[in-house]
Amino acid sequence: MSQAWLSYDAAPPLRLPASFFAAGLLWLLALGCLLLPADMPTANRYHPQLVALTHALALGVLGNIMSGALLQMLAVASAVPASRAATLLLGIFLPWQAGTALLVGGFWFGFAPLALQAAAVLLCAAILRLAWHGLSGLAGSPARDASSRGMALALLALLITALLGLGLVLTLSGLLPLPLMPLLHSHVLWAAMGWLFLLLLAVSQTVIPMFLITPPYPAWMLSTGRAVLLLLLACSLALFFWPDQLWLTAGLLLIPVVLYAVQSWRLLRQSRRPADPLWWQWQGVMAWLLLGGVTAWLCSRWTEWPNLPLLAGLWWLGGVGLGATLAMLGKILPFLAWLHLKRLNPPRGLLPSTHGFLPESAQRRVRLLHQLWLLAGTLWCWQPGRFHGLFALSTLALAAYALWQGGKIARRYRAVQDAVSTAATH
Amino acid sequence: MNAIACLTQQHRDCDAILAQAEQAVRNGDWTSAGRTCLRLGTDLEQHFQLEEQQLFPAFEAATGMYSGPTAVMRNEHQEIRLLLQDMDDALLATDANAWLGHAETLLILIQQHNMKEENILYPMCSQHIAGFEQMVMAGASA
Repeated sequence: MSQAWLSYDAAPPLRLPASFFAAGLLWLLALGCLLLPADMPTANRYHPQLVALTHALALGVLGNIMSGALLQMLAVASAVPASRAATLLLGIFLPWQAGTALLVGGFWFGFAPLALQAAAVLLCAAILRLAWHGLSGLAGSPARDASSRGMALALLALLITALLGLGLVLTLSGLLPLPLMPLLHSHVLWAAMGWLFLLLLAVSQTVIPMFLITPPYPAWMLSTGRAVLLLLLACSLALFFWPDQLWLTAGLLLIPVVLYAVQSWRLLRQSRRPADPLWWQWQGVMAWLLLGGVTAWLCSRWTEWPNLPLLAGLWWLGGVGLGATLAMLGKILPFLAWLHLKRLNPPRGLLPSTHGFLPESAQRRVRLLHQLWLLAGTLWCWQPGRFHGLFALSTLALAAYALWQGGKIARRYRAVQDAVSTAATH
Repeated sequence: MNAIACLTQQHRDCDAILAQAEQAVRNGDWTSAGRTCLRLGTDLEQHFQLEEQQLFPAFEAATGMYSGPTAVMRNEHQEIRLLLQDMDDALLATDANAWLGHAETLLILIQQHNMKEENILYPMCSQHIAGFEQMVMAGASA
């Protein structure tokens, strides 16, 4: 019998996922602050500021929220315990923040080699620790469901993304003689399709049917993740050996994206809880997934319009990634607060429901601000010089509102905790 | 349908009833909401009884684990029962906001509880309990 099974109830303490979630929202605020002084006059995907902003969003915002949610989901759905929270915070959280800050700073200040090298080492260490925790835990877990298997694939893709990133930094620093562009495109593909899309695929197969009460995903969706990994390998080989054929393999990668989005839409239409704000948020995620996927594929064929890669990146990372993570945060955070307070055995009537921590109206406002942020971002991709102020302000507004709501949850949590302590002493 | 599929179907049926009750409350149809909540409570209790009276004791006897996962599941059943009481109170007071808040808490609690049972506990029960299939089928049709 596995150790994971024996430690069945070893769900992480609240501070573990909450640290990642809070850091993710603070990075969103930092993204807005970085956008304010940005002075990229025209769209250029290789501009240092743009590369810095992309990594602030991908690693700082999405990477943090996805890692926190992954640790929680591994414990709850796959019996992978996270009882040694301090070790995980030390091994994953701290190097992740330091590495991201150094990477963003390194890019922002013109690809500073020392900062990038230090960042690559720290981020690889954090990702190795996360992947080891997840993959070794999953190997010993009795769980064999779609989400558990999908999370293993996503972690594998994250590891490959990190190694490709390390290769890129060493190549940029002149320490490795690798071909830069194939390495760069491979890194982007593994990050976007491997880590982000595969994790979305894994998590949604549990989350959509369970939270929105839909029929389950069909059995063939299980093999989609493995197919994506194989296609990613084919794409990387094409990039290194037959770069002219990239459009074909990239086109093949679009197939699982379209199949997943269409299937998800069909399930969402059959949902028995269409009034839940989460329903609209997932509808949006699927729309951005199709838009981002098609735009990214067009980038491999149509290089005349430099704004296109920016749009693909915004819609994929901001539309799909941020849309899905904000949607799930709206459900996970209030429930975790409720669950951890419940363990204190509060007197009946003292503990509010999840809506007492975050009402549905706040979740709807987050969705609205996110849509406005994407609109401002789309304008910025079209004319960066003209709309960067609008994009910066909308980023700050979204981050400030999300942080304010997060702060309200924390204050409510502490108030109930104090009330329980007071009730226990009387 | 095998035993795991049967237990999983009981989860799904309860999910569907909860969603139906939620829709009734959102529409302000308190009579229908009351009827549906009653059905939800009955069906959930029947499912819990099958687990607590038959499945869990058999698992504990087979594995020798008395304070492990089955204790956690029993504790979560108790939390679900308390939330059902909160929903009943909100129903009596026709307080839609309170009812929807408790219902969402219940939904998420039930979903994470079901995940643990379906992904971990039921496969382990199937592995360790002799006569697992017959036990569940007999309990489900009782």
